[in-house]
Amino acid sequence: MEDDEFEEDEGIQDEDEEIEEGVSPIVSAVEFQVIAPDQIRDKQEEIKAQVADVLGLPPDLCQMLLIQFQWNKELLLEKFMDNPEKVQAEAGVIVAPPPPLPAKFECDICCCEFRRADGIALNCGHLFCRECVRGHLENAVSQGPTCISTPCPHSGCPAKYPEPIFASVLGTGKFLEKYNEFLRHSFVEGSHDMKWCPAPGCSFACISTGGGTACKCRCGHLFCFRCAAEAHAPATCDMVEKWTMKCNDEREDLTWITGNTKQCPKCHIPIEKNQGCNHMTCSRCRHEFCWMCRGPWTEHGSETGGYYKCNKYDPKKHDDPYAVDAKNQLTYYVHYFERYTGHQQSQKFASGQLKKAQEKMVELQSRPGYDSQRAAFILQAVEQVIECRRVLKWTYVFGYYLKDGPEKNLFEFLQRDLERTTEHLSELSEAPVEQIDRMELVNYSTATRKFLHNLMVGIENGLSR
Amino acid sequence: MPRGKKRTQPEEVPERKRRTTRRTKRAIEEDEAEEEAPEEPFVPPTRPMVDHRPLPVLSPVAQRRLMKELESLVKNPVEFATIDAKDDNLARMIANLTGPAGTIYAGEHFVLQFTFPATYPIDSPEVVFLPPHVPMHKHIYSVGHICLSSLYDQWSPTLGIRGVLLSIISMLASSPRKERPADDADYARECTLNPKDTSWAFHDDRC
Repeated sequence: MEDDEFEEDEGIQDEDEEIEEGVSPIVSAVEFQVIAPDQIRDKQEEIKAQVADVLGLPPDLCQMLLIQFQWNKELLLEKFMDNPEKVQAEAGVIVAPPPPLPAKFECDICCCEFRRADGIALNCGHLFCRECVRGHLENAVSQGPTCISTPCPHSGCPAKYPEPIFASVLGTGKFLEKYNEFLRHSFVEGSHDMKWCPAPGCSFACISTGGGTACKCRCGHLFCFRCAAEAHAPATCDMVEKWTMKCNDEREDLTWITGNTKQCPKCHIPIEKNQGCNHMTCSRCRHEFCWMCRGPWTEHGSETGGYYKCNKYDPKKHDDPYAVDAKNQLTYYVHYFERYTGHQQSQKFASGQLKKAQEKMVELQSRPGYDSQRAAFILQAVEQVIECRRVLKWTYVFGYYLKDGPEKNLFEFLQRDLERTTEHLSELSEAPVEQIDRMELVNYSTATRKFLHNLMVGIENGLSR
Repeated sequence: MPRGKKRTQPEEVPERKRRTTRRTKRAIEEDEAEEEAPEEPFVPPTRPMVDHRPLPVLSPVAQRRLMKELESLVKNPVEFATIDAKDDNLARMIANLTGPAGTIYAGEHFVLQFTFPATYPIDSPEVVFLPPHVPMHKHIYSVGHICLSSLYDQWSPTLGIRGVLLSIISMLASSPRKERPADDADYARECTLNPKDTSWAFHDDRC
């Protein structure tokens, strides 16, 4: 079975070459504008007005044209200049006023007589009673997003209902709300510089105003504007996609075992990591070891400098059952994958710590000399840990696709610095209030931030000294 | 215009996921039971599937509209079609069709069943041929379902019974040869009683 997996992994070298040696920019909040649903409306009106200005048509008809072109203003204007009749016909827009309407009419849907004033007609001149139009539009809205281009009920008539008719006929209710939501979605999804925040339940949209990719929504979610995954600097979208595919390809059991459990090096009981720090204590034999390399914890720590070799893939030193062949691609992958999932779990754990940090802050504030500002360092430290865990996680994807050479050495050096301080900060921040030393935590937060900056800037500068 | 039913590429989607039409739980269970049994050769149904669904209760608008439509059809009948409606419940009607003269179906007898939803004519009627009186046509499945866009997402509230009859007759008149849709056997296994449950796709705008 292992042999199969080894063969599957021989393709790695080829995959690597396809990765562009691009550089991912670091997080920058300045390059994005986060907007609420009602502000999306304003943006929409702006574009409508611009098109109306150029084409000299009523804005509501321009909206129909824009919907037809998925809000691509440039394409619409270009095609309109080429062949205005065709564009209008396709969008169901009739510019000419309707033919004279009769004073009384029979609605073709309900077969009742009405006065003209009780009917609704588009410029095509097909009169229907208000009640039937309402039924028609409500039915269209319940059919889904296509309702934003609902045609006249008359069989074969191309005319489509513009927004004001929806607003006046549907009144205020869930149908109009739904219609407006579909309209907003068509606008945001059609606009190249706009994206919905991918966080579940978040209704904000983000507008890109620069070239950055890491976008922080007002809801707190940090995502990549290009691929909508979690912000993944320094790894590129390309790397993330390949990495995700690779992880999905690997056998599920391998993924789960290497990602979630390790045997205690002493008593061999399988251990599932459910805490943030790499310092493990076996619950059965009390053996202390490092989660990453499974070496004894006594050999680790800043005094010995031993543990911090753990980020570096050393082909000579692997006593894992998988490390039979040092050159083996699977081992190479597992090395990065283990560290990737390690930081991923620690990130999750640290996120869970946020609430505890707030409780600790409250506790601290009850002591003399601490106000809310002075106690905030605890929360800041946890936030710093979360950010570093997230970046460290993606550095292992970046590192996986980085070829050996002086760049990789420098990268691993910077990564090691960040990992060392993050690990320490993580442990400090999880300590109970009475053991927290404010100065130590503040200093470590600052140092960690500096190492994070060094790593990102180093990668941005192409990892040359 | 008549159109073909969308066929999912089996190599793209695993077998289980392919069945994505809106269906009742029972239908899916029946399917799974069927999957376990060895596949039997497809035999076209020779009598109507038993339909236990209760008939819709028509709204006053729907009733008035259907009465008007029937009046108009009596006054000005559609050639090759007669409507058989029962006064006590307009929600279901039967139309007897004769293959139009001068076409490959000339003289043949077909039976169409209309079931009108409570919200008719805002919503389209359910229109099926009743086996075994189903024309051999590229866009008509042997279970009686008709792939005709104006019965589904291209429905217009002004079409009515007359519009549907005319579309179906013209669909028959323009058919060059008698054949079933390519996926007829698969469809018969997958579909529900209501053709509106199927996601129809449009790739054939010709005939």
